[in-house]
Amino acid sequence: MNPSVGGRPSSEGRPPAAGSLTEAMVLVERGATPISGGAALMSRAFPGVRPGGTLLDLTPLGLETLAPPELGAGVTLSRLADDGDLERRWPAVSQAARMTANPAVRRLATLGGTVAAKLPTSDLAAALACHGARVEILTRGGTSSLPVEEYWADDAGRGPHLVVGVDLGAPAPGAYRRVAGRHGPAPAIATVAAIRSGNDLVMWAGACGRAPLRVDPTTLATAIPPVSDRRASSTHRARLIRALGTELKELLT
Amino acid sequence: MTNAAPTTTPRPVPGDTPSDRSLAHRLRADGATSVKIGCEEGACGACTVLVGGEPLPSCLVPAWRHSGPVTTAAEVAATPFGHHLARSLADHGGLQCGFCTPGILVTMVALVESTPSAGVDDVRNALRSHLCRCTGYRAIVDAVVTAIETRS
Repeated sequence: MNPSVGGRPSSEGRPPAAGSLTEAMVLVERGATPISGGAALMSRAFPGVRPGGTLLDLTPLGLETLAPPELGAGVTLSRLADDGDLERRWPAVSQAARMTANPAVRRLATLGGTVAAKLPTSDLAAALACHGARVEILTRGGTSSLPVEEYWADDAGRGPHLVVGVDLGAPAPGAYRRVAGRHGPAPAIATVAAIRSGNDLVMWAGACGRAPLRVDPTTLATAIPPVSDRRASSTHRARLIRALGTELKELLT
Repeated sequence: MTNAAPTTTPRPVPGDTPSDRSLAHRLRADGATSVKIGCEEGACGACTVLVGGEPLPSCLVPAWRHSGPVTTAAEVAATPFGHHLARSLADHGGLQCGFCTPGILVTMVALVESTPSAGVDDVRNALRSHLCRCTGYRAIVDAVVTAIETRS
């Protein structure tokens, strides 16, 4: 690919790199796959970039703002996990970042890539949903934002776009818990995040469907039943949500 | 004192290199066989190399991203502390098949470089980036902690 509008031409195997968001958007509309850290795109665990597919290197755009509640798409999960302000004021998100993958992968993986990949097993999804976080996207029409859970749920209707950041929403005391098939880094079978908002609890479950599910903090049930798959049944996941939710209720009330 | 490791610089990537080719495959093609290809998901850590002093799973790093110096396990093992740590791993039974060992060596040398007084918890946390199916990890932790305590 040798774009006539924007982007540095490819050389020595290096894909074009956008010089501005406008240039990047033009290339995305032409079908380029944005890449930043590369953790999801390069992994065999996830749908990868097809050989011969065109990548678009986002790293020169410098989307690395780490000023909670404003987070740039290029911030690595390692920086999120180590940020003291996030740990104090958005503890559920901080804990979810620390439990994502392993330390080495977190040095590569970015927030934008994690959100854009929309992996159902993402640790961040439920924690972000608890705070009412919004995904900031760029389309040809300009910048807009939408709730995290809506972004995760929508598989095809968005059209060409770039994830440029996340607005975390208001800080609140909270916590995050997960259950996986084994100790240590492994995809979660069920996750629950909760925050205290005034006298109320806000609770969301992750890894239980394509998008995070809202949990009723009184009944500890979800309105939509958790999914059944090879790793766990819906019934088992509902029990895990109750167990993790009970722990978080005791912690936060 | 861990003694800075020498580095290796991969050869320039040919222009027709697939954009999803990983740094791990490129390094092995350049003869760096201490870079082991394992899961290719960033989970096992066998392909870990130092890029800018940071241990990264080279299977997840696009080959085109880094044309600068990369430090592999072979180079790490050639440093005084790397050799001391490798000796300690052997003495403590911290390896059996040895496939995971090069990556662990790279990560632990980087850990000691950044945290000279690293303790058991630091070592265990760093080991979360690696899978070992032979030792059960305890011998590895013992070997690393002993190497830190006895380094010159």
